Amino acid sequence: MIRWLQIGSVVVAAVAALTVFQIKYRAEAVSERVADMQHKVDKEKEAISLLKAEWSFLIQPSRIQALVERHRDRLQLVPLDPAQVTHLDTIPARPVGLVSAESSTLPAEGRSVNGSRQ
Amino acid sequence: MTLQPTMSGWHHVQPARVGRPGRRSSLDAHGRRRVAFAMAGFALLYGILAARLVTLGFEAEARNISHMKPADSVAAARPDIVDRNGEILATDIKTASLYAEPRRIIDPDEAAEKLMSVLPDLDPVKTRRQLASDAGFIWLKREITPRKRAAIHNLGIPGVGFLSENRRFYPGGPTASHIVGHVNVDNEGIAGIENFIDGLGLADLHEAGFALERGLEPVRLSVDLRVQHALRDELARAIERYTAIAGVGVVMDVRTGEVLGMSSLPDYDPNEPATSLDKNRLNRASVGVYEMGSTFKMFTTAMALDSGLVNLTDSFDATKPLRVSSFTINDFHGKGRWLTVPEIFIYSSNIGTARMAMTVGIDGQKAFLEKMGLLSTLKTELPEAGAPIPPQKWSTLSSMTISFGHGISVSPLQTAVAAAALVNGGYYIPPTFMPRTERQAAELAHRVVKTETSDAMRSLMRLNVQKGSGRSADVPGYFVGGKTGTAEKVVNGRYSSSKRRNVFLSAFPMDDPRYLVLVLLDEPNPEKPGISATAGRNAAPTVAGIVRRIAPMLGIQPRLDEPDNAMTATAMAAIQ
Repeated sequence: MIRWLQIGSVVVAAVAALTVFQIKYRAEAVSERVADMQHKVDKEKEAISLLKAEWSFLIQPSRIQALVERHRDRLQLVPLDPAQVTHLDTIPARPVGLVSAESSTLPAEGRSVNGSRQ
Repeated sequence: MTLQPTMSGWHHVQPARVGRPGRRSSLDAHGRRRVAFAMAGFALLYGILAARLVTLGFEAEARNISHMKPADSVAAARPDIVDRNGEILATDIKTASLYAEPRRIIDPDEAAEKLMSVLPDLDPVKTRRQLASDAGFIWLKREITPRKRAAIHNLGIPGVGFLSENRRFYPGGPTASHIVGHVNVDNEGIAGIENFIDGLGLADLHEAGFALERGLEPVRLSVDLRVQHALRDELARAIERYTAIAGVGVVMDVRTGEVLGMSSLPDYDPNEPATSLDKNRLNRASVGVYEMGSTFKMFTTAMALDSGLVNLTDSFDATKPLRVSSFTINDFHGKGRWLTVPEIFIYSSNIGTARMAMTVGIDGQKAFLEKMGLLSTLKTELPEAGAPIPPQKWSTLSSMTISFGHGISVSPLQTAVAAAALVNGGYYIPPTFMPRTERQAAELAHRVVKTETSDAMRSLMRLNVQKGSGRSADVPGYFVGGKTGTAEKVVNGRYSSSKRRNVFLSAFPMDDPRYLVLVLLDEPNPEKPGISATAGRNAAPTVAGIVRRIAPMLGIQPRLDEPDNAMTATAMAAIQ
């Protein structure tokens, strides 16, 4: 009786030890994967922050202004004048019959506005 | 030490073993107890071992999770600094520095050649010699881009590696340098908001070894990058056009006390902190203290009106220069007659203003300027602040000169804050570089002048732009109002008539002001020979340029019709 108990407990102990080791190895593998992914996340975050920094450098008002000034001939951009800002209510409605005639003259008009500014 | 207890343990066990043969036949109570004692001892021992195994198992896992390397602590992380719209003003970027361990390099020539293919700016001879040397560790190149880092990594040269460190990067360069400040080599803030952040407890965190990883909340400022750029750009143009030696610009929200933009030229690039050491690049807006000239007439007029002793329609004798103890106070644009209060303001009469100050008296003037925060150092988040320089002895003469802004030096930011109180309905609101709502501002605000006084000041400032010295500051649709100030600079202890410091202090839209703009130009010259170089000729048009650019950004609708105002009508009627 006692012998069987002894053998049984030895077997149980061996199985328990095996299981524990297996679980431990599995846990280790999982934690390694977690660490690996964490590392990847960190790397991505790093990349994002770097890209953000680059983006904020690229959209600096001073840089944009320099670019606009350099390509003035092509872009035809000038600073906004307060006279150009108005409320929608104050603009009269477009006359109904003139739609087709006006759309063809619009680009030319745009150019003449720029011309008069210079 | 550890051997001693084990030895004694053996002594106890040995007799037990000796007694074992007698166990089966007759165990006396004494032996039984001994066995039980030994068993308990072993159980305890194995229990401890088991517990230790469990803890060891946990510890090994914990070590796996974190990827902390010694290199991570090279430079600690700092929170980003962003403007009110979330645009980055300062951020951390991880930079990699390339190092080599020459002892571990197998073929120095090949390694040098390979490195050269990615980093062409390395010195070939020097690099080869360094790699062939017997040194343990050498830096090859600090701060290389991620792309080059990847390229070098792919070369697979043994004995070459990277250490990464955090580096502070200011994408705007000098744009907001005087506000944001900069950090030293150890990433500690030593100027501006950077220094302020450290004061909030970041320095303690670094000390304790925390805050190494990213993820700190960004610090948001009240500054608007677009406004800041427009301000700086217009200021730079003005300095160029009028060949001035320096310039200061401040844009403030008069309702909340938030500083939206502050620029002092010449400034420096915080990416190269060494440039900040030049004395000429100091923050003139908050550190520099200057005689603000006629701009101070705003305060004198407000003081006189607020005291109740002077009305808008009252007149003062400005027929002849005022003589006080061998000193003569004269007018720049002398009218040679009695002037009403609005006339004194828009013609910027020194005589009239001095007489107004006399009506209130020396003590009244002192108390008023104290109340406006012009006699004590202005406290903001910025560590840099200049203390005002009041006269050593507040005599009648100094009281008179102070009334038109000579004999007292204050910082431009301080002047702007005080002026904001005159136009926002009479509340002094401490300035801030952090976002603040109108409700928060109302809790901090305290009344310094009556609402009627503020109304009158707004009318006078608007009139000054419509009819007085500030005409070139007007921007149609935004109703700019303001006051010029042309202070003569002190050269060798005397006031110089050729060297000036010009100020224009304005707010818009004047019927219900939202923003205040202050511009100061140091030693501007006439744009063309033959015309004067007073503030109305240079500082005022600079303000107009700034308002024209920032008002649409700040969402202020231009209006065509000037709003009617009874106070303006009264003031207008008092002008001949």
